[in-house]
Amino acid sequence: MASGQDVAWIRAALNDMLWLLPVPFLLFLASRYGSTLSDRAFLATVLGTAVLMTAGSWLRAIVRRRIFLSGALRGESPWYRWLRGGAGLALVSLLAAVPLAAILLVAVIRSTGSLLLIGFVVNVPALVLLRLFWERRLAAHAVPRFRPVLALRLALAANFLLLFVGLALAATFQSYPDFGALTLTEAMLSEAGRQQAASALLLGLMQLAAAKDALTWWLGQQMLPGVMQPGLQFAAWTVLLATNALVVWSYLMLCSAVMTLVHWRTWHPGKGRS
Amino acid sequence: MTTQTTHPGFSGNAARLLLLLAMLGLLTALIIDQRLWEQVLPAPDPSFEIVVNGHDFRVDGEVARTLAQQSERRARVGSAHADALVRDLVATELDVLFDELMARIPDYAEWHFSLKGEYSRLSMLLLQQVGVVSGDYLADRAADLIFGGDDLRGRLAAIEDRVATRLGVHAREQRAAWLAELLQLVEGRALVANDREPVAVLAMDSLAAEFGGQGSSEFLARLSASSAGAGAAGIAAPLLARLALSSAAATVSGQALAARSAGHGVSRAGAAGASALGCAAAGPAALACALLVGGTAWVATDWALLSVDEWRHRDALIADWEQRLGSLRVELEEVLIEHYAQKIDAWRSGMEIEVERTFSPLHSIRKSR
Repeated sequence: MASGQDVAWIRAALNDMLWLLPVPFLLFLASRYGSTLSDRAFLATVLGTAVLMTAGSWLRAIVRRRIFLSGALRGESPWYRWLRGGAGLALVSLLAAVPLAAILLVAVIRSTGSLLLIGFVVNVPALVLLRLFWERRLAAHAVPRFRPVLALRLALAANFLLLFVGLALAATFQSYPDFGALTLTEAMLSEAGRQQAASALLLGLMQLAAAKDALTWWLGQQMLPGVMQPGLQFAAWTVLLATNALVVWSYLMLCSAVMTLVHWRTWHPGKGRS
Repeated sequence: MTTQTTHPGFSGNAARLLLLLAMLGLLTALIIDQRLWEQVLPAPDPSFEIVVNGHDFRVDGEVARTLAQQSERRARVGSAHADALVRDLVATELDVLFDELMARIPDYAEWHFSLKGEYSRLSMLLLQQVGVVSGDYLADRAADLIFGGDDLRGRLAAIEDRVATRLGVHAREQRAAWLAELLQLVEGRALVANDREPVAVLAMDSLAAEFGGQGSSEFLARLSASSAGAGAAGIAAPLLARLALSSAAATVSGQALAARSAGHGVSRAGAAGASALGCAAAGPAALACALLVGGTAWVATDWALLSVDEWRHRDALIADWEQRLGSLRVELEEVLIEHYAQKIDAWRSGMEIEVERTFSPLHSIRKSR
């Protein structure tokens, strides 16, 4: 029979999963309707996503700063108040979140198969379970007020590896356009020319992403067949697909932001030193 | 006590778990098979801007897809029509040409069995034997009398010109018909300033040019180039080879006739000698008399023998040439049709590629959904 604490943990985990489910659902909507957005609507979507992402990255930055300050500054120092992380840190987080939001949205709008979105859906329970695992593991080691965010940070790292390797493995079994008879320029132009979107801004970003994909596929088809060992081939493909890591990381940023907002009061280390 | 406090927690968790599994399953199903989502909330049909001849039209996806289907059909039907057109036109033109050639065969037979023809052949045979002239006199003469010398090349070039002109007209008709279909579809859908921004622009000018034979496949330009020289030379080459073969056949026939003529010579000499013997009583004029009477007897005998020969072999000679010209016509028709089929095939490919390229936004928009 599970204890009351276990029941509470399970409930917290299920609640977190239910809170996270709208993220892949909204990305699914973006994949369906994103190409019909106007310039303004797309810009608003990117900014909205970036603001949401900022919530998570800002809290992690605050915790990182507080850990540093609590070890570096004396208790009575006024610098603590100045450096504990406020609007400046939020702005830096927002600036970093804007490109990540754009990358994530362009990736889901461009995705033609269901692989990426299914990966996102499957990842929901994985992230929550990993965070709970690390929170339990850190119970005997981490300071209580920093523990939730530290657990989140470790869970994100582990989840990133799992999701990226999973998507990279799945991507190696997918079929790609045959660029065997084309030059690199032709391949990039051909792939960029196939992109369509109502928003000129979105179209430009999609064409950039398509040209990048064409570059990796062309390299994979023209250069890598000479590498005979399957292990090396796999490694080379993985390197070529490394740019997808940004997409995976952006998605995890979004998920962590939702979890952070849900638990903001309990996860925030507070204004004081203890 | 413990059971009382934990039981509600388990119930709540079970409900949450069921809800979570249901939502995960539903979301996965929606992603894998998006037709389910279409039933829940159909995607708005995207609109497209069509640009043709400097005019902008706003159409929905359904109209754009209909237009794509019509264009595909037009490319297929138009090229098939061009193919049938070429077959008919080439057959008709060759019928006219070869009717004329056939009509010249009796003239050739006339010359062949004439004294002039006989002595020309004998003279050229003699000169060939001693190495004064070279070539195939009989074949050249046959080419002159039946094919009209170099006129045949001119006739072929004229046929090519007419076929190219007709195909050009067909391409223009095809472009006009396609444009009429397009305008009928987009009638009343001119783009206005406050329209919502379309998902994609379908620029039709390249496709219109391709339908008119002036697109990237350069159908009309290639036809003109071929009728201006390259194509005619290409077609004339196998024809000339055919002529050479015909000439060789004619030479064999000529040699047989020459051998026959040698046999005739014995008769002619006998007749001339017998006639000259009658001049012995003419005294001093005996030599002149012998030459005159002998020569007349020679020619008269020759004429008589040729008449017999013509009576015996004229129909066979005409039938032989008719059969030879018939074979040549069949081969020439095949070569010409093959020549145009390649060009029409390239045109059809060009139209299909242009249709695919022009309407590719339709596929990518649908694919991205």
